[in-house]
Amino acid sequence: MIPSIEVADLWKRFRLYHENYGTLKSALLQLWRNRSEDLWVLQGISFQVFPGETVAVIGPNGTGKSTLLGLLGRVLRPTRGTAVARGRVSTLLDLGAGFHPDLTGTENLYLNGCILGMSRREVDRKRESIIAFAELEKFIDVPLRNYSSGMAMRLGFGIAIHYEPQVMLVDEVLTVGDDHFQAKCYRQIEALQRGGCAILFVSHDMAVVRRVATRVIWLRDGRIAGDGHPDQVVDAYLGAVAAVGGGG
Amino acid sequence: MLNDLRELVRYRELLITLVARDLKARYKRSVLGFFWSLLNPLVQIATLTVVFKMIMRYGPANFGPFLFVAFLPWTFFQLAVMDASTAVPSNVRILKRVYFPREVLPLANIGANLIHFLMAMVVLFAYLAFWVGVSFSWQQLLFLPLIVLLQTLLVTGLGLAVSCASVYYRDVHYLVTVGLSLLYWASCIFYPLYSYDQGGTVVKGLSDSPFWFVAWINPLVPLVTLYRQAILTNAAVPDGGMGVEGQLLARLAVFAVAMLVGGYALFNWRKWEFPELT
Repeated sequence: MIPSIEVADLWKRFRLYHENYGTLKSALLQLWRNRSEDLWVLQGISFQVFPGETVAVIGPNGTGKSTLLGLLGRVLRPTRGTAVARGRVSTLLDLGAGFHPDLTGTENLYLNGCILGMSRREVDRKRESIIAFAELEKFIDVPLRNYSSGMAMRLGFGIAIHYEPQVMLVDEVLTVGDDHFQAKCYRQIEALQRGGCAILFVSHDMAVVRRVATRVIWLRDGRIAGDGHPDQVVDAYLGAVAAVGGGG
Repeated sequence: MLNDLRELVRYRELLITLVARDLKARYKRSVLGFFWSLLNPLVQIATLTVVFKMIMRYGPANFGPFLFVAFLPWTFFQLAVMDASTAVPSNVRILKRVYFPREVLPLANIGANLIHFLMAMVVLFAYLAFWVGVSFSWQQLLFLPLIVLLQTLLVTGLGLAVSCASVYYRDVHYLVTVGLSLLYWASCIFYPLYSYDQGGTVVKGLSDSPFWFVAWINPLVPLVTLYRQAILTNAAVPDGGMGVEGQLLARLAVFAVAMLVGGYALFNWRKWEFPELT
């Protein structure tokens, strides 16, 4: 089987610029000086994810979880190695990212769908179904500024789900919304799993990780510290957190 | 660069949607809507006419049309470049989450401003035809789409360069503001390029001044002059040296193409770094 996500010897370096970077004056003043420090966020990561797998990425803050998602979503470029997600890749947007507060729900639906990579015709086709999923029939012609954060999240999740992704990248957003909608989201995620979608999600909520993931990857200091069955890796991770008091 | 272009074509629907977002969002909750974008140049033209014509008693006859024809392209240029300088930073949140060719952000702003400009031009023609009573020369008007196209290329190139540079240096935004107010006075908006005789008195143009060289380094000088020649040829607002259109057109075209290629190359060279910097 061809892996949906293939990461091979992935390295990512960020340049940390010092404080007054960003003005022409400081650029001129520091021409001859070393302006930056290198930070290797990912240091030689390799793994594969196959269709139908749901992989949770866990680990303390600053260990490169979001960077990994950014590299797979082609937002960032690897410094070395490769990170490939095959097929239709959907990213669950931040609350409100890609939404415009002055536009109505429908207008934002088109905007957000196109940002994700849908054609307008595709949005035309799926519009009703997205609105029904998000339970926003009554509010769809209201400007987004009047939405609650939960309503905006429902709309965003509805669009991402209806993209019919083959790979779904989720960064810390699953925990929003009321119980009713969360249950609905989990059902959708299970449907995606059965349909062969590969899901990679970042979470700090170990209960969610144990419930949803079929496999867990534990990142520590830019390297893989554990990769395997959710209960095993989560227990090892929690053990390390308890022992060191920081998990890293 | 060819690959970048192909990718941009693939994402054309996103570009169209973003242009629509710009146009829709700008005038939500406003009564006058599009007319606000006309009101600004109108007020400026009225003010300038009062100052130059009635107080200082300067300038060519038909000063109103003379200004109006230059002012709308100028407004397009100014707003498009200003918007481009904030295009990338104001969309950081999507930029960091989803992949799409980053150039759609400044291009969407430029597209929205182009549409505004074209709508304003319709109003200009109505004003010239029914209020001033200008009779147009159709042969000259045929040049108009070409001039608009060249201006759009010029604005696009400059907009891409500015929006890329603004990610790296905050100063760019301020630099653009200062640069635009300098260009405002250096682009033949209030005075002609070539001097001409007007019933005994000579209206002095840029080419007879110590600053004649500005006509060679500022692409807006041929641009504005060409708009005047194309629209106002028969309107008793001569701009001297007839038959120089070809040369002006060539000058403008060189600037426009160079700016477009340079700006696009610069943007593509750096666009991968944007999410790491903003």
